Amino acid sequence: MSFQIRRLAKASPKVLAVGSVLAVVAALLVAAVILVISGNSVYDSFYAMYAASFGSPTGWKAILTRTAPLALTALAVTTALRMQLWNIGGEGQLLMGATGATGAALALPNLPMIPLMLVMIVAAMVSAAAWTMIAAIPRAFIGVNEIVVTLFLNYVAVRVVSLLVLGAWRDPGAVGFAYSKKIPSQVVVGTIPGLGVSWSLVGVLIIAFLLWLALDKSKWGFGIDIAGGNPKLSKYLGFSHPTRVITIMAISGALAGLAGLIQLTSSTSRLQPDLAAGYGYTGILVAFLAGRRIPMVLIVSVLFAGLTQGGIALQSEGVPSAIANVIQALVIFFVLVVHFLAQYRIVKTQSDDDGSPVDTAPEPAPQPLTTNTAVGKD
Amino acid sequence: MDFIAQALAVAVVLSAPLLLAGLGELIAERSGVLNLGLEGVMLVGAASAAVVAVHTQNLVGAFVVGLLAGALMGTLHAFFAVGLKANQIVAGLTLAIFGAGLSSFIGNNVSGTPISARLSTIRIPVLADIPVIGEAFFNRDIVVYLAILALPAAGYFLSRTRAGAAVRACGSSPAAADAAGLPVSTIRWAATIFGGSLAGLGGAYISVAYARIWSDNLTAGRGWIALALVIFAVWRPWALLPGAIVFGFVDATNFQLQTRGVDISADWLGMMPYVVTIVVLIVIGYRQYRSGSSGGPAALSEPYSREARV
Repeated sequence: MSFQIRRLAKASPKVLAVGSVLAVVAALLVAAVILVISGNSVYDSFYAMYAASFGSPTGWKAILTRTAPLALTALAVTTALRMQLWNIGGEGQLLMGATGATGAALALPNLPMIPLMLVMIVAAMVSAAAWTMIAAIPRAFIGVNEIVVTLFLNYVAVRVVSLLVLGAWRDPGAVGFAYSKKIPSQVVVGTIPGLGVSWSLVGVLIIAFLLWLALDKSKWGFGIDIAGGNPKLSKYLGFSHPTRVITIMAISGALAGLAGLIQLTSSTSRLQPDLAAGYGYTGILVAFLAGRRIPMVLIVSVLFAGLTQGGIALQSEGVPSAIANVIQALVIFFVLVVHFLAQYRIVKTQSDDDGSPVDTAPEPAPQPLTTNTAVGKD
Repeated sequence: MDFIAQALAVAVVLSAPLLLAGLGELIAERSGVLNLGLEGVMLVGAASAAVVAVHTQNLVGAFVVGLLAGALMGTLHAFFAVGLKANQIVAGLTLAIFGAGLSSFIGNNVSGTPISARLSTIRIPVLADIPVIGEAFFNRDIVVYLAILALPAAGYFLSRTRAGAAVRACGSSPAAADAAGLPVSTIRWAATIFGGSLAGLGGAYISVAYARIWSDNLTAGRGWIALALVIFAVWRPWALLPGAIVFGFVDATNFQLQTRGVDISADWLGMMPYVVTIVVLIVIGYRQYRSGSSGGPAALSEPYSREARV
């Protein structure tokens, strides 16, 4: 009898599920070590985080309000990933969505609530989708790497917003602050009576449901899953690959743009350069952790929104709020380890006469989310 | 004229961290490993070095610690990207977020405390007397000189030595490199750790020599600029220099304009490195599309595992 490590054709779902829970525990343990080394009390810090987030009704309200934009940026990444595309420009697309919506609101301040809101929704989606085209069109037609382009566009978007709020849209009353005039009060989104959570969360749930129908339940979504990032297979199946890349990236960008609309209408009421608040980046982590499944995106968004909320509460205790980012990153690190380990299984084997292990044919490795990521390469 | 000479001097200083981080990343990318976490690595290097500099006033020690901290972050990335063959985009972005958060903790106690020790400049006779550019290039500190001299050294290493050829082979065709008997994983580990070390050193330069203080998010996006710089240079070491000077000049004039209260131009300048890099990427992509040859390492960000080889 001897033991052997065997590579599995497909990562074990059971190991992945148990492992993901263990990853969160491990991340909290490492965060505890960091807190101790930096001279903070682990119990006090974690308790303050818990009390300000999952441990109180006000905490839950704040978490669910944060969940809305985060789920959208994560859905944006998820949508692109269905085609093996990495849209890591959610931060910038969110800003451009907010920019489009602000433009519409400032241009038509006297419209009643519903027409103005509809115009803003369209403006947010169109401007963010158009912004995404800067990456999508070169990607679709000549195979320019979309990862780096979407990433760099984030830094351009911040500057564009900064130019606008210091220039044409500047609030004359704002001395020394970079933000636009306020949007008209009829489009400031209120909270659900009795719940205290922004109405935008309802909108996000509807969007998530529609996206689930389109990607998981329609023939179109099925075709995207099958052909994915493979242009040759798309061609064989009779789809235009460039059209699909552009469509998917446009949807992805529009989703992030709607996150910008939410930030604008239920949080800041003005356009400002820090409006994206890192949601674009956190959304990437959420999408990865949720493994491209839309219902999981919603669940993980709540978890990560809770961590962020808890981290912000810690600042008043003198602990850097960055602990939330550290924990979120550690969760991903440990999940990466789990993904690796889940590809293998230790099996008992009868040893050969010569004592050498039985040679098993290597099976193709499961590669979650690893295809088509080379820079400058299709 | 005074404005240009002044801005150029700051540009050369600011190009040093970009050169260091960019060169390290260039070597790592040439071996096939993309580290999107450069910003986080630089921040950890900057914070660690600042802690040492504030407490000991020993700048050499600070730089060594910054370099080692960067090496550790590089090791972390290599562990995921090479060891576990994880997706490099996910691992790199996570490293960026992790590093930014961790640096807040490392630097928390010295945040806002100025570093009194100052890196002395070394004036190179004759050359420093050249008008406009003399002071800017030839009256600088040792790190700037080393960063610039490292470029031809890296170019020589990559194109003229066996080890350099091995690094390039791992980045362009890991399967062929493996078949030729090269230890692909070991080389990628080494290149990634080396890349992290230089990024850590670059971060240390920003906190200890340039800003001479630590505050949260001190590197202010220079890690991302360094990533852009590698593409801008089309993965050629010598081409990092003009790129770093231009991006450094943008950074420097930004600062100068801000002090004169011209905010709006700062935004136009601030977006410039990214816009230019996107244009470069599209041009490279177009050339590649037309001719089939690539400017970058063919297997960049592709994990290599012998078992999964087809």
